[in-house]
Amino acid sequence: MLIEVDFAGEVPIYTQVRDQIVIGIAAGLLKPGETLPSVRRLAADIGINVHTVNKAYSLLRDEGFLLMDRRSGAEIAPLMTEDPSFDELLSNKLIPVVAEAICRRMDIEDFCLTVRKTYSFIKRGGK
Amino acid sequence: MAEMALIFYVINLSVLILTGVLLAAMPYYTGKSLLFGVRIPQIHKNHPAVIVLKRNFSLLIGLFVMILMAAVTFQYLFAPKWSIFTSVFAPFALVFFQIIAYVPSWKKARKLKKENQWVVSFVGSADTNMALSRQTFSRMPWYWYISGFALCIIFILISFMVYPKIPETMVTHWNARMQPDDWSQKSYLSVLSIPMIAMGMNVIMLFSNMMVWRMKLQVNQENPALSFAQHRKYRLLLSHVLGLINLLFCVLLLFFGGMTLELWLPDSNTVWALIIGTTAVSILIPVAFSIWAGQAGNKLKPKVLPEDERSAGLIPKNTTVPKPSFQDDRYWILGMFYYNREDPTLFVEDRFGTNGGLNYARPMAWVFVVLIAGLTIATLVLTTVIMINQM
Repeated sequence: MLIEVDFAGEVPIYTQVRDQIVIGIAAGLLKPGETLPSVRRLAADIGINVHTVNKAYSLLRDEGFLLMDRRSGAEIAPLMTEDPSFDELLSNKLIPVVAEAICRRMDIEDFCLTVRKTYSFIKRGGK
Repeated sequence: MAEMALIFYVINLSVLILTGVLLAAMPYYTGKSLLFGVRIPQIHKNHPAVIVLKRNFSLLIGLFVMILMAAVTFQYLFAPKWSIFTSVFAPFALVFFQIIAYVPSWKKARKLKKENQWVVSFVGSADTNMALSRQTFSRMPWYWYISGFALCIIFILISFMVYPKIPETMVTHWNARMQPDDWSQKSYLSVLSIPMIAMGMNVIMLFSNMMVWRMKLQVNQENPALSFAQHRKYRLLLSHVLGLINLLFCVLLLFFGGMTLELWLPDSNTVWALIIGTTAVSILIPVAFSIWAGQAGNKLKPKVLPEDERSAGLIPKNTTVPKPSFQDDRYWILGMFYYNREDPTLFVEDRFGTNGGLNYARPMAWVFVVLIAGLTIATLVLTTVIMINQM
């Protein structure tokens, strides 16, 4: 998978790296057990600081997306099982997004439709 | 002596013309999104001001080359003894002239970009499959170097076999008519020096070839899949070019080695044909390759493999307009020297021309600079001293 980082974007670089790896896993572009480039290699390829990549990797490890090993480096973790506590986390993450949709006068059906479309877009691997 | 001067004159002229053509054509085979080291949107590649800027640079280089050609001719006619001196200094003069022509062009390109408010998004990318960064060395054509090393080893074995038969004083230098003019005492060191030099050259060339593969991958965001394929093909082809030249010079060196061992004693025409042939091939092939393939292969039309199609379109698109300060131009001092403290890469693709460069923010880069500068200064000083002593 190609990871792209927009230096001009408002989103911090480590968040961009983290998000794209999560998207890659969701889309099936990154398979469980697949190794990721070393922190140094990824940093060199993108042209960013080693600490930035390290931060993204640590975050992904803490969230359970990555397995870190001193020898084999970073590896995509096995697929997660359903977790009831994610419901609350999701709702928290959605609050600003839904709020913006409400401000922009989007009704709930349209909102759900967009969510559906995005969901299957990712599932199809971006096609 | 007169013959030598003529040969040098022809070589000097050819080197000037070839490097001149290469320099003058440089704006045209550098990537379309780069204008004298300044990143511009590809759609503006045919902007009238861009065309004029490129043309003026080429014309200026053409003028400089003609001045240098006149100087070389003058030297041949009036100071034929200074041939070697000219051979060493003329390319440096051309590099100096190149900088004179380049810097104003870079300034104008920057101004053009600013005035027209051309904005380019600055995106960095990495490939998690690393088909191009991890498996790279396995794609390298090792056989060029393996054959080079094998030839050296075979030569060393032969040297040991014939060592007892070699006369006590060995010829180590011939003049242009193939008459011996320098000798040295037979010893293992003098016998093995040539294959050792050949080995050393093999190591240096192998190292530069590996550098090609280690270079930071700068994917063109406007068509990532094609860009990946181009990089892959370019690096492979460049490796073949480097490998071929290495092997040619290796064979040439060992051929001379065979002469010192008296394994063969060719006539002067054969030797000159070999020297000129090898030099011509080693200049012509890279020149033709650079112009044909373009910067990092941007003129190549490779087959795009499924593995190249990695950008799945899932990347959230940035909606904000990039700020000029966020463009990568700011990491390129004079548009020529990459200086980025954040970036751990050491080798990068040049922004002007098809060479590679260094990230000067890395301390390792300066080790290279000192080494290369030392070698260059040593060559210049040595040539000058030898020339003055011969006067």
